[in-house]
Amino acid sequence: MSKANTLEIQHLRTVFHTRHGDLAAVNDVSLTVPKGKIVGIVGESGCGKSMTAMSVMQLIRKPGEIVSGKILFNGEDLLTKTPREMQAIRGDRISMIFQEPMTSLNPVYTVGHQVEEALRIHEHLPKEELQRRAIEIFEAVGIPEAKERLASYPHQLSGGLRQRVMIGMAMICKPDLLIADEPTTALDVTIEAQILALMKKLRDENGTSILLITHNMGVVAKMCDFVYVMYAGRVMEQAEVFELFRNVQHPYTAGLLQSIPRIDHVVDRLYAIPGVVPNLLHLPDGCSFCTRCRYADDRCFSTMPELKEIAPEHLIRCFSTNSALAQAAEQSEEVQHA
Amino acid sequence: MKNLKRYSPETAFGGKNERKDLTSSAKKANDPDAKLSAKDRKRIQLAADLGEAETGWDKIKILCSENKLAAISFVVIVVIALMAIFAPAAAPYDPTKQDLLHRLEGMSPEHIFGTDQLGRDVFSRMIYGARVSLVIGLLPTFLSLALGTVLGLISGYLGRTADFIIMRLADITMAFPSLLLAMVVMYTLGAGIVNIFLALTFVSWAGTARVIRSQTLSLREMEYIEAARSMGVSKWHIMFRHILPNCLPNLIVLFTLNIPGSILSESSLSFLGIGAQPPMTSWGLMVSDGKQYLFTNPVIAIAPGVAILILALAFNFLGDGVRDVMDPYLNKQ
Repeated sequence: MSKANTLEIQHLRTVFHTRHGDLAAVNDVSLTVPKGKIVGIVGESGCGKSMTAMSVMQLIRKPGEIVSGKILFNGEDLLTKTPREMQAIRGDRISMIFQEPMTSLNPVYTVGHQVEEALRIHEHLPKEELQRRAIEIFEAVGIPEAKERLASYPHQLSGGLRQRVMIGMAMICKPDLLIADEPTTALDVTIEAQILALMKKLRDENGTSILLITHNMGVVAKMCDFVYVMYAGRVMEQAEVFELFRNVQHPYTAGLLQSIPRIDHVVDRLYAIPGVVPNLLHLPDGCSFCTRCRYADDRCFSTMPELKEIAPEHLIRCFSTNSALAQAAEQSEEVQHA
Repeated sequence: MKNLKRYSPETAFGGKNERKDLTSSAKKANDPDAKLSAKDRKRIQLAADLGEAETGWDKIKILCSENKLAAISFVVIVVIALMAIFAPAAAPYDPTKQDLLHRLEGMSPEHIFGTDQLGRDVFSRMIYGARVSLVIGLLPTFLSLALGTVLGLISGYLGRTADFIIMRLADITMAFPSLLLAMVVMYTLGAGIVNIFLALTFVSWAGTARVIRSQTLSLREMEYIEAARSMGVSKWHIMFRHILPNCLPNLIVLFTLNIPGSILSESSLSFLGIGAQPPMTSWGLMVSDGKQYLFTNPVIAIAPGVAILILALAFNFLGDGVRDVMDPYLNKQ
């Protein structure tokens, strides 16, 4: 393993033990976040994106459990750490931003108090120093009148400001890895652009690696260096971001991209991948996407395809490739018409 | 005749309430959300008034004018508390000084509530007895609240085995009639003021624990708790620094509503002879002593009885008032 990778997840499997059987929220996921890079995880709701992030933080609650795999952070396996050691890493070396800026701040404390909290826990600093650092980080995340704002309560701030506070809280200890779980989903697009620009700026300044979880392909295109597409707990396709958008090869990713409404196309009905994410307790025997895949054949229903490399650093979990399948489908249609 | 001048189409067809609404808050009448009940509207108006109030004192004034019963209750409690604190100055006589020549006298200018079977001044004894009643009202309530809060937080946040053990203990405690349980504890520990604290704490922690547990269960799923965990905050720190402050409104309401129960329990225990012991006195004990003379001089039993009633009612009304203030409707502002 090279030191150039901040985070390297190997064959991670996180299972929830339920009354109806074990449910693999994260199934054999391997991913790498190189130092100073932004890596995206995309997928529909319930595909295991957030659970992958929570596994890294080891904040999985019972009945969930990480059953196998390795999570190497700067070369050290986090899964061998004691809870106390993990607690020291959380918020200091790895920190996290959540989706809802409205509910991610404790309503009974001032934002200043909350921003300083991570510092208070991880670095024992005198009060003046705490405040100085808090003002510094507020200025860094672009909160105007930083000093006055420290005394504000969360309900006095707008959603965008609150998300800035959240980012400030996460960045105050200058972590090596920032996990952003849908950081802009609850914000409107102008604020979204500002927050994304801010995250990029902080990455450039501090060299922080970012694991960005989103379901927004636009955000991926704008932010990420490398992308993992997840479905039903597994990685379906992974590629460098330009490669992915130029050369989509998994039918699922193709479907996701096709579902994005285009302002320059007039359509009666927006495209959606047919069906819903399968119940993780009753996954199909073969490929987990087979029930919704328009090209699925017998083999897809019986065996799970392995990840295979179809171009340098471009892996897909499919027996064929989307372009080949689409071509074949077109031909068969032509045959029918003839 | 004045009513004629006020005649208008609204008053002609609308009921009395409708007119009141229109005049009291004109902008509310235009509110598109007409489904709101009159009570809700009143609360929204109150919330707006509170938001405009600049100082804490202004807020208190608004709240007092809104809920006069609670305001009066608060004054009553303060007066009783002051009398209890400055009992040596407030009491006209020494509460233990016997005067056997003037036993069982009725109400008179010298002895407002007469004298008891040993010729002691009932009014002075009531003032000293208020000390016991107030301390019993406040301290065990506070102790049981503290115990219930800690156990409720542990139960709700840690869950699993701790939750099971604590909640089953709470079930067992609540399955017994509380007075019976308190009597059992008192008989085991022996009579005395400290043991009353323990007994009352022991019988009343379970309700608090349940309320705080359910509150904790919902709060622990909040994103800010998750965020705190992701920052490396320890679980005890989360329980006491992040969840507890969010339970505070509930705790304040529980506190005021539990006080009358404690006062009444102490009175009952003292009445049964296992509470405060002579020469110390409490209102419950005075009722107990006075009951033998109910036919000859009823005032010596009735006066402390009425005092218990007034104090308990005052705390109840104050609790209701506090609960209204803590209502989420008002907190939203």
